[in-house]
Amino acid sequence: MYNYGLRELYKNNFEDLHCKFYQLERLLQEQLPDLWNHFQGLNLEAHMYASQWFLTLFTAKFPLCMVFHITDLLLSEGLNIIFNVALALLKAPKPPPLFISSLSLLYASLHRHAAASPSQRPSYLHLLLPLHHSATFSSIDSISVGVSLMTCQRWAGKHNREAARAGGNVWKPEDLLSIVCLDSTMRLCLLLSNRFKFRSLGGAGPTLSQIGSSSEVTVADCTSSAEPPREEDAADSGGDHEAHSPLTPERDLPSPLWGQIPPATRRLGDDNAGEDKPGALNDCTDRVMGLLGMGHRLFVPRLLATSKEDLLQADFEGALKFFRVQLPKRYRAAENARRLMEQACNIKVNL
Amino acid sequence: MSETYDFLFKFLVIGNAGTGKSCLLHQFIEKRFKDDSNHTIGVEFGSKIISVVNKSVKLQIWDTAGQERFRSVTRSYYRGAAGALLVYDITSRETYNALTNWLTDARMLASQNIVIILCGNKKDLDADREVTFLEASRFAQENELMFLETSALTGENVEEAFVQCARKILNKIESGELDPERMGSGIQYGDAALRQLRSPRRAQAESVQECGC
Repeated sequence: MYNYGLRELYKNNFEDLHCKFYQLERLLQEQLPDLWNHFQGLNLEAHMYASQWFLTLFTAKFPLCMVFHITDLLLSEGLNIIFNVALALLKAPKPPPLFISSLSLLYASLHRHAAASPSQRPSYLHLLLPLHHSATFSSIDSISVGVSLMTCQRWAGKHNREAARAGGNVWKPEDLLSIVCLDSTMRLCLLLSNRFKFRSLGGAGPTLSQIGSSSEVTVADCTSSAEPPREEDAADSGGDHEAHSPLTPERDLPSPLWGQIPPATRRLGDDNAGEDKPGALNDCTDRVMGLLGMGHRLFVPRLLATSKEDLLQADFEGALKFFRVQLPKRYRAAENARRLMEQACNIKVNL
Repeated sequence: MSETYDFLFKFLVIGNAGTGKSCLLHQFIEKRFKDDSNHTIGVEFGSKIISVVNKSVKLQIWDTAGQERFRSVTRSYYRGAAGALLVYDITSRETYNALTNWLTDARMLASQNIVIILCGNKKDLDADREVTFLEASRFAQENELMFLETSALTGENVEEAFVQCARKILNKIESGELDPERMGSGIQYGDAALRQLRSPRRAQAESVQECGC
């Protein structure tokens, strides 16, 4: 650690550390001027959020899977990779991590949507939520997700009352069409509609990548949207665990969620007629959205706020909380951590 | 999402390492004891709105690292603090003896009018007590501090410590002793319109953000 200069950070009253903060601020100013301006306005300085990044090499808050990557990079490239990782964390990542990692983010997204003018606002909203605490899917999760959904609706109601008073845009309950949940291994768990009819896809549904590489049939099924997609396909590709699923309320409903999704798909089909062909869905996340009959084009760019966007919306406390809570959470999934490191490696840091 | 409050106070929690500063803050905000606490690196942050004498006050609390080596980092947080919790551990005389140093730092680096409350933490460990209540309250009197013995484990007096400190600041504002308008007072008005008037830089940043998206 002598060779890497880690010790220097701590010496002479952290003189070196403050120098790093200065460098980080300059890099920020150079590469993310809008964010830097925002931080300046909030009086948010690097030492308030980045101390732990430097002093603990991201080990204090971030998940282990990410820490391993960082340590590898550090050993091979030296201490300056901290800047790469820091910038990658702050920079707008590409949309892929398809998750809204917390309810507060969800609310922020809803808020943004509701504030948009009716013409810009999509007529339906689709949400993809991860279930953090479940390795295997259980009925408890469905309840908690149901509760989340109710909270969303309550939030929408509250927002509407405020909006009605202030003459803003009203949020209709139909706007929130469906929620898809993924468990911690990114397997599909269940689908919920706004009327709380949900459908379990089994404890070990297909993973995102499996869906990405699985047959064209599933995708074609839902883009045609005339008939409900056969979820047997999905269950089969991930192993047939459907029978063990503890979630049963669905079974009583003759035509559950799928019956409600197609209208949305049709609408989307009208909007982007040529683009929603299976051939255009070249990315596995697109395929998931396709499989679920959802308008990925609506969903992905708007609801997946990037770190930078979140931070630009946040006030002083919100930003600090974001650094402390949301940001580390985002990289719990190994896949997200890997993507982040990829980005970090592609950032040029000229010191 | 919009929270309303009348005042915003910047608070500081200082004291030796291991006295329970982070646990006090956690207990105050979450109403739970933090049993997996680690050394604080640099500084942590928390906020809560409390109501004091019919006013709602937002406390913006900086929880600093107690370890000696972090002093140079934590010192920068003293600037513009309206109140401070000075924490020692009643089962450790060493942490009590260090109070003078902490006090000198606070008085020197924070605003002149900073309101400090002395907290003898770990009150629940009365059997291992090394510092008596009387001794500490005498110290508090001599140095014009408020004083409470607290327990982050049971939650006893934790909220009171923050509330008392906030109340004293409010009293000082009402008596005119403290001027919220003065730079570095650590106090801001909560009213949104007022705040915008007072920090044009922030408004600017917001307008930039609007066209940026």
